[in-house]
Amino acid sequence: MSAALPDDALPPVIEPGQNSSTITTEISAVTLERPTGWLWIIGLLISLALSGLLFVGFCWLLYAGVGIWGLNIPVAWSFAIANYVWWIAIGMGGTFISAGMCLARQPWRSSINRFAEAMTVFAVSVSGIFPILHLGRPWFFYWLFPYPDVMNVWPQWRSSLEWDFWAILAYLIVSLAYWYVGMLPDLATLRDRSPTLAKARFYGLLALGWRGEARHWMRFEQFNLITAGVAVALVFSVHSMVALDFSEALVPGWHETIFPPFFIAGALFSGFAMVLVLGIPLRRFYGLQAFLNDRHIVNMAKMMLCAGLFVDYSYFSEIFTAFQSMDRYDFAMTLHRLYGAYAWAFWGTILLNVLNIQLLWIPRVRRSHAAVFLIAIGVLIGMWLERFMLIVSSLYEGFVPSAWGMFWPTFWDLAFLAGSVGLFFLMFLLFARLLPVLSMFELRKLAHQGGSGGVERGGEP
Amino acid sequence: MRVGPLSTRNAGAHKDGGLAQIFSRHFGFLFRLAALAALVIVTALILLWRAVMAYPAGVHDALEQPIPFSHKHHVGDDGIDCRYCHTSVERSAFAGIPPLSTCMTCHSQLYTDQPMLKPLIAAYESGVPFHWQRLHKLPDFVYFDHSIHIAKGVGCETCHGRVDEMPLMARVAPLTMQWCLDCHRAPQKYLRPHDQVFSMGWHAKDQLALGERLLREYHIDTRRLTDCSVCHR
Amino acid sequence: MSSSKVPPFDLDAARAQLRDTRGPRYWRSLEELADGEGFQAWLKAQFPQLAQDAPLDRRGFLKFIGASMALAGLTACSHPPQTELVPYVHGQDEWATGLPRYFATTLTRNGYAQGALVRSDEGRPTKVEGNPQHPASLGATDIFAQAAILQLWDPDRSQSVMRGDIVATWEDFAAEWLVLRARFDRNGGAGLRVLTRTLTSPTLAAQLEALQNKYPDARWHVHEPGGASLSRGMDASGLPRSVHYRFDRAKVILTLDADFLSDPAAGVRYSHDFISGRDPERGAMSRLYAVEPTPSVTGMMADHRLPLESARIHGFAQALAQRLGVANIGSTGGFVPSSDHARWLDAVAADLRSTQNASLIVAGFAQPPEAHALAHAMNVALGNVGNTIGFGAPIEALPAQALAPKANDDGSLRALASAMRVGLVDTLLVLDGNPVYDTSADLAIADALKHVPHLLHLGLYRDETGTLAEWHLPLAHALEAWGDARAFDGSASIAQPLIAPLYGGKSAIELMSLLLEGNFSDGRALVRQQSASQLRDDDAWNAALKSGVISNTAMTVTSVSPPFPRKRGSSDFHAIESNILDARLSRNDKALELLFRPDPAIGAGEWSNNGWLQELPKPLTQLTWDNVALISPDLAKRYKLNNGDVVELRSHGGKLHAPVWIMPGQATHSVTVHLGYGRTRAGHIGDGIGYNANALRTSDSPWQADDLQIVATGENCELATTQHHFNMEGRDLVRESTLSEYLRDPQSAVAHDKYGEKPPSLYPDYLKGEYAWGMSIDLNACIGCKACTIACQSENNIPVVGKDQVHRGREMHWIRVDHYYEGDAETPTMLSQPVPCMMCEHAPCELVCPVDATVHDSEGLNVQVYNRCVGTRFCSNNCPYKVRRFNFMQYADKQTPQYEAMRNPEVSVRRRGIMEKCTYCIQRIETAHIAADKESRRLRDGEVVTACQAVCPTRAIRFGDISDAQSQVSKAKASPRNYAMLAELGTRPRTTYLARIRNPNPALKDET
Repeated sequence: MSAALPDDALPPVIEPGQNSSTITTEISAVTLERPTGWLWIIGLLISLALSGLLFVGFCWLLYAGVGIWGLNIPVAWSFAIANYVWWIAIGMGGTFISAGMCLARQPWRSSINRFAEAMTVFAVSVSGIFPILHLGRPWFFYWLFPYPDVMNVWPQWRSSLEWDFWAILAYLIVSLAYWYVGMLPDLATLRDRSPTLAKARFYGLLALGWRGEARHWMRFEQFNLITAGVAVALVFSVHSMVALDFSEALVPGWHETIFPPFFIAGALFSGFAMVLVLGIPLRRFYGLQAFLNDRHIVNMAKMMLCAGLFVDYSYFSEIFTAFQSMDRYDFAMTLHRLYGAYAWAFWGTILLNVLNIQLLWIPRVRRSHAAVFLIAIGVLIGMWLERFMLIVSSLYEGFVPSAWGMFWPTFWDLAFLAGSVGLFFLMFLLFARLLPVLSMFELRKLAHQGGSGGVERGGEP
Repeated sequence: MRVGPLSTRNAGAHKDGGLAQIFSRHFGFLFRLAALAALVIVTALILLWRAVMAYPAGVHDALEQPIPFSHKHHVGDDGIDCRYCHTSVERSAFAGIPPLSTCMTCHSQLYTDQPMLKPLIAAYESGVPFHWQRLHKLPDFVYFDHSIHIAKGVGCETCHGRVDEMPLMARVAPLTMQWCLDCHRAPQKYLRPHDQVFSMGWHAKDQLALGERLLREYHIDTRRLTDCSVCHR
Repeated sequence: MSSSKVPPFDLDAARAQLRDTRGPRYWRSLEELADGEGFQAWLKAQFPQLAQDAPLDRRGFLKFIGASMALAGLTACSHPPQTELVPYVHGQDEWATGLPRYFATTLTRNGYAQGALVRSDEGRPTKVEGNPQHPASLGATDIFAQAAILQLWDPDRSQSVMRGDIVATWEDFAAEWLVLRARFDRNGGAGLRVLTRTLTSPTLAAQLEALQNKYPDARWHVHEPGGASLSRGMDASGLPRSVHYRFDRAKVILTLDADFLSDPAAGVRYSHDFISGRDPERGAMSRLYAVEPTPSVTGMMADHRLPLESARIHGFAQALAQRLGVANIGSTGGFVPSSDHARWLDAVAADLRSTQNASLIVAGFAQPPEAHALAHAMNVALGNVGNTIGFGAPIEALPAQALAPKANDDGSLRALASAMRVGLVDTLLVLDGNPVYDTSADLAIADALKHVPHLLHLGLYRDETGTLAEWHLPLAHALEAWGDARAFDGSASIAQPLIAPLYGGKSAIELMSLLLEGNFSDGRALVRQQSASQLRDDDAWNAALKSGVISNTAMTVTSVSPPFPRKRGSSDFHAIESNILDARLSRNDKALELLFRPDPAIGAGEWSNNGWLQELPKPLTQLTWDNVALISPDLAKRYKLNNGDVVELRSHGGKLHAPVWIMPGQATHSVTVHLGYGRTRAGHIGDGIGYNANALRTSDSPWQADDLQIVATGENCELATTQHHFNMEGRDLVRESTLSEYLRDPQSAVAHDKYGEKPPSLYPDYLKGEYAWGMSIDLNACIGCKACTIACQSENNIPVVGKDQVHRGREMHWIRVDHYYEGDAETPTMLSQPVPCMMCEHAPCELVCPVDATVHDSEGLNVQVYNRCVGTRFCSNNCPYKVRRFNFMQYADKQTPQYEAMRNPEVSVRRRGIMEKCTYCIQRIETAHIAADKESRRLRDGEVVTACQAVCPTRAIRFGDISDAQSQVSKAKASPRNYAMLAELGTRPRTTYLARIRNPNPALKDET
């Protein structure tokens, strides 16, 4: 689809003149020698504060109950679930880039897959909090786990929430392993380049005694390939799962067969957006222009646009189905969604997820990092709004008018959302400071193969 | 230490030197050991937690009671029927704790001078009862009914054990849901003829055959025995 | 799991201390019950759930950090505590411990007897049921009888004799009384006054009579804040008579602002009679016309309802009387019937005339005597007297002056007030009343009382009056003391105590015995002695106690001596003051009238501190925890007002701020305010909510004011309603048809149900058991009184959550009563529909629960297993009927021992974080099941009665085994009116409805 676009002028994946040694030096310098920047410190403080808020909220929640949120009957789900879906979706994008494109042999991904995968791990961990916290009795969440107990009762496998539990668990484990193992060679590099013994020990521990023997490399490659395969499968299975949490219900607005593909598209959409939101500043502040250049940004922008179009199609088809089926309740729900009390959520979604991304058709916009950054931010907000709209505007006016009600967020609803963002960035900032943000060995490999990337241009979007 | 740019590639060359400078020789071993230890500790913690959750007074532990009342003596030696004291066991969910006046029917005459009976006499005269330590306590969300179990031929012994051999009362059953279900899933394993419900140490010749017969005789609807609603409301 | 372990925020130490001093007395009665645990709970605050949003100060913060850490770590790790068993000292009588027992007793409402059977668990009264043998109950009760249990256990009840603000004892008071008595013995009781509410108690009446004989100069006054019952009438000479209606016999009924379905004395019975006259299956239905200013339960049931300002109803009656050819009906001053009215009048008149002696016209208590007289004249003219209406000797006991006024003293509170002002009153004894709060502002009782040296107050609460009193005496609750009362038909019945007075209260008759004899005599003896004439021996006495009614004490109903109240001293009907407004109303559009009514949920204030009633959605508005000013849609448009906008009401120089509520069907120029709110000394629950409408009331026109002005203040206040949307959106949830249609085609009501009750499904049927429980709700019989809601609350330990939580949409009622309006806002059709759990055979809630906490049992019940629930709330999202309720916070009060004692031991108390819902009263099913299984027999039809079914005055709810074709419920479901709500979803509900059938007058067809 990109053939017509004048992207041939794009720089190669790695700026010319980069060789293995410069790559290693520059990237390891980010963690080993670069002084801690004040911007980083400010960022850390902010995310620390937000994470603290999350912790306070967590305690207050355990003390007083989920009633501290604006939940009620009929709207028994809202922010917590929206946050959960939002975060786990963001994770997807990361895995798709690191694993999916690894299998697709996309050279340019080498520069972004490391922090994309990190993003995945952090996003999934953050998202994992919410399904547990939103339980009425969180301390019994382990009842979803089939363990032999004195009650002789087991989980109920018909419930999508049960599958969900496994989906999150599997996804967390796989992405964590894929990310960490993928880092081993670079950790070893850092270990060996550490200026001080303390640092050397630190990275030495993390490197798990990687010595770069052929044996190591062989197993490493095998492991990477297998996990990548599994991870890619998970990208699709997990998010289909999340979609079933809704489409299993008979609630108008949830009970839709299009949800699984729709959710996956949405997941990649927001995932790519987050990669851009993280990558663009990262490149700026850590002077990684050499490895993260226009080519990457433009490619990512294209992929975001592509995923976005899928999502937009789903919006359309949802509404179309309602009008076409003329099912009394589905139709009413759609009208409420479009014109009801939460119309702002719907139109906000349209603005940010449909209109917003159309700008990316314009090459100049694609090349302007600032523009792409802002559009990506918009997409992230839009995707959260979409989840909120999906959940609340389907629940608040259901089958029986006498039971219709409104949802208004409380302070704690917002606190948990902000807190989750804080926690995510806390983890990411620490990662950016302490661990190799780009995959050195892969870039080296690329450079070694003559990483102009020109060879594999054809494979790019 | 500053290592050459290609360090990782040919790390093999001086790996031992490289690592040895950072970690002692046995570090790898110790590291694995630590990991193992962590595993053990976590498992231990889980087991500990299960233990803490267990019933306060364990199975077969007798509790300190205000009066060392001996079922062995009253049931075993004197052969008093369960229902003499636990009067409501056939009519009510609650088997009934005998009022002190029941004790006094004998003990206004017998052993009145026994020191161990002092609390009884005192309580009876003052009208302020002493408190027994409770052994069989089900959670509030479990609704157990003695009368229906008696009516359907579940012997006292089946759950309370050989009280006629207990100098001090002790709990013999775990009272877990698992334990209840064991019988609710296959009552025939335990059912008794009505005339043997209150007897101790009774054994059927062929329990299963008898059980199957009694299931029909007692009109026990096994379909609902494992309904949640039978015990939980 | 352990939030009950956590200390609540508002630790009200002072109160607790006060309580603690009197703790032990209360505990002796409770100690025998169970483990001594919870004694410390004494010190805990009353309603943690009402204080959820307490500000988070530093200590609070630390507290919850600590607590939540404990929760996070240890909740699952707390093993059950070691508990104790406390033996009785002396053997009990025949009954077995652990079995509930039922006692027949008598509760009163506005003085009239309501027969009740009260369940006692281990000596604790826990539930009120109706007494089938009592004429006013027939097995059902109203909401107040249900709430009596909560009132009994209310920790805010007065707990000791108080002299001023000092705790005293009954002995102190007795001594004090002897001093006063000595003086009255000398001066013949001059200056001694007794104030009571309406009373029918033979014993108390006799005592008051004795008092007047003993002290000729003593006076007795009666003040009833709640409004008179329809069964009170007057005859030609103004002497009281009792009126007896036969709504079951009437073919055509016209009510002139008479809400007979919620009549204080006989609402339950009237409801039963009325509905039994409207059975479409028999093809014969009475027709109800309602003319009323403000929508009432009765108006909701009407086949034709005409909203008409209260002041114009007399005129309307005149116009109707004219058409019925009643002689000299007085000058028809104001009322000029519009064309609509004329059409209405003609149709009604024709309809009334068409039925031979089988119509009935009833005028409401708020209507002037003239309207009553007209109604009666028309009943006479229509030949109804002796058929659908009759008269008997008075049932209420009245002071002598009331019958023969002396020196402008007619025994009213007004007379008492003026006497107090001129210093005629030395000692005033208030027997269970709260005049300081519940009387018209113009009487200014509070400062009139300043002229009274000795104010003695006997009351359940140390309320507004009690705090002013020199002596406040705690009244024993109706369930704590012996007493007696008479029902609307005169039947006398005995009230026997279910439990010893929790706080050492004494009953009115016991106090009177002190006044008369100088020492307390036993209530039982007094009642026994009083009823000696009817109950000669112990057998008769015991029989009366057992049956709950003394046989052959009902009034003999005659058709003679019809009541003809006259305007003071005149001989003929007159155009009365109301006609002046009447005229004004018909002339200009600006004039407004203000109507005062007892609150439908909490009465005139005596129930203000009752959480159940406060949280009970009021009929039609569905409001809780507040009173509003009901205004018509027109008025709202004119003044640009929305629900919750605060207006200033001005009348008789008084001012009052009240939030408005737009009431479809409200008469255009009528504004209705409800009494019972704005209490200052009601207790934790009732204090400081709503506004006190008495501030605008005047004693000469207590139920309406004709000079109302309203001014918008621009303020707005939050109102907590349980229903926000009253339009059915064209969804056929409530189905109805007309009688003629129904007779022509029985399917007409449910014909548009194209799916049938059981659409095909991929799911297998549930496991069939020996029984298949099901419920049928007859929408034609449901009058929307909401007794079911509160009966369910009492039976199933449903917590009160408070206004804030209701406002957030978290009320916990297991069975709600939905209201819908159809048609235009001026004269809408009003529908009501009780909604319990549908017990779907293919329950959407079940398959989404990850831990199997909601499952089907073999008898078709959709059971919620609380102890397995982790609270994902997916089940509620997936419930199309939204009948599931969630404990968003710790709602059940585990701190207050009174509430612990009040709860039904057969039902789990749900903790925070757990989903709950209607269970078809599974505890009752199980109890009956066990009883039957012990005898190895099948359960009989009607052996299991759910709480909502038992309480329903009109038998609208039927429950039983639908696999048995002969069962009541099966027969009901066999009706052509039977349909399932949202059947098209394939949920296969076990709860189904019978469509509503109206009986409109063809002559008025296009109007409805």
